[in-house]
Amino acid sequence: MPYLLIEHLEEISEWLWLEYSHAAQWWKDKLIFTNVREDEREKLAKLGSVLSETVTKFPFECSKLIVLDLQAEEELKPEDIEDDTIIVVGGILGDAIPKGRTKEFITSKMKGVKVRHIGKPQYSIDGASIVTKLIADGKRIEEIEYVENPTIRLDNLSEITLHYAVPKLNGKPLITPGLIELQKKELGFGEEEINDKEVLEFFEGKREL
Amino acid sequence: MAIERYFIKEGIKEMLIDEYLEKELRRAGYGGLDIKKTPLGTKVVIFAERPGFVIGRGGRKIRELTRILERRFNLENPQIEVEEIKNSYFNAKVQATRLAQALERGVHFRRAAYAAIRAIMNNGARGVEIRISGKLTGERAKSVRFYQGYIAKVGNPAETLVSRGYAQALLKLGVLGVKVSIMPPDARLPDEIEIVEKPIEEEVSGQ
Repeated sequence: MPYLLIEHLEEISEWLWLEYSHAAQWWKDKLIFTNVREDEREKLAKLGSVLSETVTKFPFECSKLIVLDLQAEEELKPEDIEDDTIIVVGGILGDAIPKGRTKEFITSKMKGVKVRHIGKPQYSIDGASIVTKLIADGKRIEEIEYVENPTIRLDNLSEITLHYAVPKLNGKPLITPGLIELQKKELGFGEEEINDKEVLEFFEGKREL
Repeated sequence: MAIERYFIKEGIKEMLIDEYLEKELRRAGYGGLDIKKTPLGTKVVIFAERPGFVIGRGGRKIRELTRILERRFNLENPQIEVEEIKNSYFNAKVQATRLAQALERGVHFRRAAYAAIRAIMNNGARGVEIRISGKLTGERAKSVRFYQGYIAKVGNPAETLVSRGYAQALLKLGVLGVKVSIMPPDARLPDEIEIVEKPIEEEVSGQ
């Protein structure tokens, strides 16, 4: 079985932690984190192997590495993946419109590696890990279903749209476990200096904020 | 010039003026404009919540705007008229700007959106939809939609009956986009037909 390598590029936030945990569920002990700072080492060690060196300066043989990048020209095929292949995913919480940061931080700094994409849509970190896993298990990109911009109902007045793609397995979208709860939690608000009545009157045009 | 191009050019010009006025007259509660061609020149009607801000002290602001419309946007002899918006609850542009202002003041987006929905619905609107998108709580960008009541989404009613507005809130984390659509209480869908009872006098005269 190949290895999945996540180049850690952001602060560990709750959201990022959920995505990493989900990826770890799928890759078990074949998960490697690189570019990890000393203070974050202990936390990430619970999910997989940890290396403080960045993947771009690896002493490995580059032919074993496959970098996943949205801007790649070739798609990832099951034939590309061998038992000792290392697949690199950028640990970036992307923007709604991809900025090409994987290219900026990883692909452009490495020479002689294979660069592949996993389809048009932008996936989250765990989404990309799952798609990679499915491909490693012999599926082709065309066979993998996904939902773009999944919408989650929060309460009877609101819903949230996540601007990336989520892979589907047997018709069910694999949304990061715990993410919906996190979104609901973040929607709650405590006491603020401006109270409800003042905001309501502001919208009725009776006062200024 | 082909006639289509002419209309496209005019449309673009109107959009640019609208964008400019939105920025310039934010404090006046800007709520849209109407451009009409007359034999004497161009009549520009500006809708605002507080017309005093548009006119300015002794008409200074309105004269400045007239000059800018003439020079920068090449309008022919513009005559600006300011009209007050009576029911600002149902003007989506005004409400979108207010929502953006509330977000900039640090009100939690859900509290702000709910207050806006309540203010609009309490005044009798048929429906309202608010979409706020961007980095709402850091990390990944996402968008949240709030809605209540009925809103026309397609066809002619969606174009003619629904008031739509857009505003941006500049926050430390980045820009948030605010889209507001409001279906006002007097909006009448084409399939809502009232049957008038036949007057009784006719039967009497028939006998």
